[in-house]
Amino acid sequence: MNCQEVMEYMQRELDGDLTEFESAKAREHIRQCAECAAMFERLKRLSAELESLPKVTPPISLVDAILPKLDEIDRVKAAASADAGAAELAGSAGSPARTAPRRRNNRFSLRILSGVVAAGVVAGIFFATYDPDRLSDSFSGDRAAKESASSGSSEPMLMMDAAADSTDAQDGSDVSMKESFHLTEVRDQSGQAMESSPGSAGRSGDSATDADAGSGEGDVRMAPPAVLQGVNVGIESPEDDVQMGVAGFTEEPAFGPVESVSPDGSYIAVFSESRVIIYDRDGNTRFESEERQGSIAAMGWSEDGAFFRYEIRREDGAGEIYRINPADGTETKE
Amino acid sequence: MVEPSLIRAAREGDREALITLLREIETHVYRTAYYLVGNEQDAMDAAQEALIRIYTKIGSYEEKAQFKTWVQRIVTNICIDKFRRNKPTVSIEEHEMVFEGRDSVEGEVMAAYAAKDIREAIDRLPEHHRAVVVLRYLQDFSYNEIADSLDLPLNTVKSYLFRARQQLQVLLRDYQKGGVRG
Repeated sequence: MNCQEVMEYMQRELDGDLTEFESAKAREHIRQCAECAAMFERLKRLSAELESLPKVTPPISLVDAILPKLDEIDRVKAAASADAGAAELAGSAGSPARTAPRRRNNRFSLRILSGVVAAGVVAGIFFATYDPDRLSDSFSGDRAAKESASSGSSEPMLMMDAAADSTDAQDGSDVSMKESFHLTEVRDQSGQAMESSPGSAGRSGDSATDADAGSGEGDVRMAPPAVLQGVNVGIESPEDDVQMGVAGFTEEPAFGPVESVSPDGSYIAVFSESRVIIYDRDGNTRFESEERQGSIAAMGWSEDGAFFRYEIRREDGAGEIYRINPADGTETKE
Repeated sequence: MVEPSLIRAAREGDREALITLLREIETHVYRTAYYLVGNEQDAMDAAQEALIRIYTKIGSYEEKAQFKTWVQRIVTNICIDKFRRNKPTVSIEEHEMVFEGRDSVEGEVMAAYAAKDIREAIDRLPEHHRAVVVLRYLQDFSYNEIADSLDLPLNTVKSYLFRARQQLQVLLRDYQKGGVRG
């Protein structure tokens, strides 16, 4: 065995990769070759030094540091989902979003759009750094309404139009459903700005992330992450959810339609005229709820699309949760 | 070792599980980044970016791969692609190992390291050699795990590791010669 072969054996020995036979052969050579013996000593010592390199740890929790960004990512997903939902609705003739004669309809639609644009802008900036390939279809706000429903997102979403205190809404650390839903708040101001000046998307984007937008009426667009656990398990204590968005209502709870597409795209739930209506893919009405006294505080689909749940906030602040099974057209109060 | 059930839950969209998972791996991610990029600030940036990428890509993780090698692949790719430094590295290939040559050209090149810390020497290895050393010694990976993480053939992994150690031992030899250390 020559020195070069032994060199490889010595290297593998450091990694525990030698058989007993190979190891014996190497030892035999090393006993007779001072040079290889010295080399082996240095290699062992180097290996020991490498093994004792400091096991550094991050100076702060990295996960804590990125949590806001992760929330942002979820919002972006939600915006993409909203895009798809809005487009689907716009694409079906006679859809309630276009025909329901609510006085705030137009404004609401614009504000939904501005939310999408704002989220898209934020998303664009954000993903320019992190993952540019995900975002292409939600970024262009002026296409938002035209975007084909196939833009891909089948994630459930949940929107609400309410005056919200953003610090409440964005604090996701409680065990209530706040934790499962990620909120994007668009200030009323930015909605107004969108109406008068469609070019101000950048500004809307700024205020969408503005954490101190606490006062006044705002549109809150909520969307859960890919799995809508909140809808299944999170709504345990309706009373605790009061601050989740409807606190500080300044107007009668008159809303334009809000809608949510089921995860598999089979159904769309629309809250309009104080009722929840479930349409199927072909635009047929599958279920229509009774008129509800109050505003809608939250809504969303179960992960498998089998149930749609929504929460009605009555004027006296009490909450009511209903579950609709679109397959058999039944609704139960929870 | 991360619980397989936790990984599964995270993959299936359980956000809480995913966050818990990220917390469990953040030190490993940071440690690799730290030794690859060579300073705390860049390591923080790279590790955070890796964690975000894991967060968004968890759905694409396939269980046939080891989770830890999948994670290390992400962080090493980020470090190598985005935090490629302009620091000069010693090209190992230019200095083929001359085992018996005590005063060969490599000796001159390495003499520059004589007074420096072993960590700085690692820092000046070519990126993939450095990555192999970091995965072997900071993550305790086997040859195969390193190969999976870096997408390199097994023989290349061994060759990089052996050459890197060969190069680094010169440092120790020079220390001993110059009496800088023990």
